[in-house]
Amino acid sequence: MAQTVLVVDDAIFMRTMIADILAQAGFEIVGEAENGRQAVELYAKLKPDLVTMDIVMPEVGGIDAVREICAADPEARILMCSAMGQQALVVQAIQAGAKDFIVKPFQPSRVLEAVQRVLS
Amino acid sequence: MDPARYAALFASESRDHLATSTRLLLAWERAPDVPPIDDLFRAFHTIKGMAAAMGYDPVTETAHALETLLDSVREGAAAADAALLQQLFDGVQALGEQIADATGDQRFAALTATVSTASGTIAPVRVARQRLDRLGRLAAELDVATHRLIRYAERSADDGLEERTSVVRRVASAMADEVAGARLTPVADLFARLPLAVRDAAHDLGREARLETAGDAVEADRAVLEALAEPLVHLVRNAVGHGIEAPAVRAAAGKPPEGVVRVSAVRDRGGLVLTVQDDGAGVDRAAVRARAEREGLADAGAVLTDDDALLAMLARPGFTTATATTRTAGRGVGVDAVLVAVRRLRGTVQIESLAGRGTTWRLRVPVGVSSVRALLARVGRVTVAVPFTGVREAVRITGEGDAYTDVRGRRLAVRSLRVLLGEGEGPAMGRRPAVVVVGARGELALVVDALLGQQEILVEAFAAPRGVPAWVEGAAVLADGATALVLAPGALT
Repeated sequence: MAQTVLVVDDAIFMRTMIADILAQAGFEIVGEAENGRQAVELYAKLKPDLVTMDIVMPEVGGIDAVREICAADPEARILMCSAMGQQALVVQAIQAGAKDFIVKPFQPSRVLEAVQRVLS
Repeated sequence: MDPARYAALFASESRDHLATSTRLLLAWERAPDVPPIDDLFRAFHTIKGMAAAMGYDPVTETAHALETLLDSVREGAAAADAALLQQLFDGVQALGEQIADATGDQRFAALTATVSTASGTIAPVRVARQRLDRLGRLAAELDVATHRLIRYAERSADDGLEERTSVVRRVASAMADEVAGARLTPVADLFARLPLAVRDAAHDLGREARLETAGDAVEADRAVLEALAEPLVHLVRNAVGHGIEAPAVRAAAGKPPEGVVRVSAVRDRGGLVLTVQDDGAGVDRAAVRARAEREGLADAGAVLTDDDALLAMLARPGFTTATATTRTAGRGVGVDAVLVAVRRLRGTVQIESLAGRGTTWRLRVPVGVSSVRALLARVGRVTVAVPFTGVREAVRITGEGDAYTDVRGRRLAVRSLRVLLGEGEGPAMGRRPAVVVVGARGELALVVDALLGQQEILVEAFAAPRGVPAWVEGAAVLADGATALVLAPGALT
């Protein structure tokens, strides 16, 4: 049975790219969210095996979303997607409960490695 | 990772973020106390992320530099003053140009700021524009074809045939209406680029100017609006660059130092009317005449009093009275490009200029592109159709063979369509109907045998055989199955 993923990023472009990489590796994309608020709502509804989470988003950002999701589900498996030069924010995200991070631009191999780490 | 697959997504999202950035910067300029730093940051940040994924390095670097600039404001290391704001404006311009280079789509260089309007809870569907064009064409053809089918059915004795074709007709007509409706776009999309154009022109030339718009909700076919996008920007820039005076000059003339450029859209029976009006000094007619005389053009003096003559002069390719070129004005490519674009849409352009008061440009175009409302007339054995947008009025004139006639106090040149179409002389008539049109150099009265009413027609342009004059645009199949010659009066002299 395929493992399920919730993809969170405010850019359709990025969501499409990540979804394609994961789908081709056999994951099932069960939801997409474009801000932290939608991410929290969809996580509660879909209970995905994995979440990929962007940091900079309108309304509610990635770090706050991680905090909320982990407060409700300490077992949540969240992979942060950050842009280059955002080390401080990545550290905050890990402290809030994210398990690992990948840096844009994505290389499929690196993405899949990070996903494996988070799921194991 | 194959970047080509994501190029379309990159293009459409970048377009949205560039438009948002422009809108935010303009709002910031109007309200300096509330700089929208976070929203701007996100827009640049998103473009940076996508560009990095696509390998568009120059775009990534510029977006990153813009982020850094905003960060320095956030941390208090830099003041959010006019100079910084201008740096941001320049940066967004550069971003657009770099995206244009990277994607090969030159529209980015002009910052197509079509505002994406969120419409409630239902997301709009994206349909490729070519598909929409093809749908429009097919729907219009189907409509005309069923017209002819109905006429045929009416003449036949078969009752069943008439009833069935009537159903087809009803559905085809409804479909044509729906497709036409799907192609309709509010003029607000067209107006979206104008605030930045006014702002840049004013900044470049030391003017103070603001834009006012009206009729934003008026709708027209998207192809019509796309064709008018560049011309409208030209006219608006000209209004600021050539029309509106320097603040000190305006103050001395008792005007408020900030000039107003007013762009409005109205629908009337003939189509869409776009007006660009400024409250500046009016066109410098003396300078236009002097320039015309220097170029050895005949009848240069007419520009002093005749608006049509003035327009004809301004529209000559390369004509300019400016002595220096800037980003904004003086390149002399504006007005004739406007006329070409409007004529291609089978529309007309009019100018009104009052010294010391301002200039008004009026563009009249059809609302749709597939079918056009036209005035039909009989000329010998030929039926001609003149698109409404080119028609000023229909009159009756006396005097056989006169070269000129007077219509409501205006002197118009007379042309006989019988002669132009080689139909020979008709029977003598005391008063003949004539269609007053906007020709290449002013109004003309085209004499016809009889007026036959108006109709919505589908113009079929043809690859004209040699010898067909420029003022014959194509042919159309009429509702009764007959064919009509479609005229382009803008090419008549």
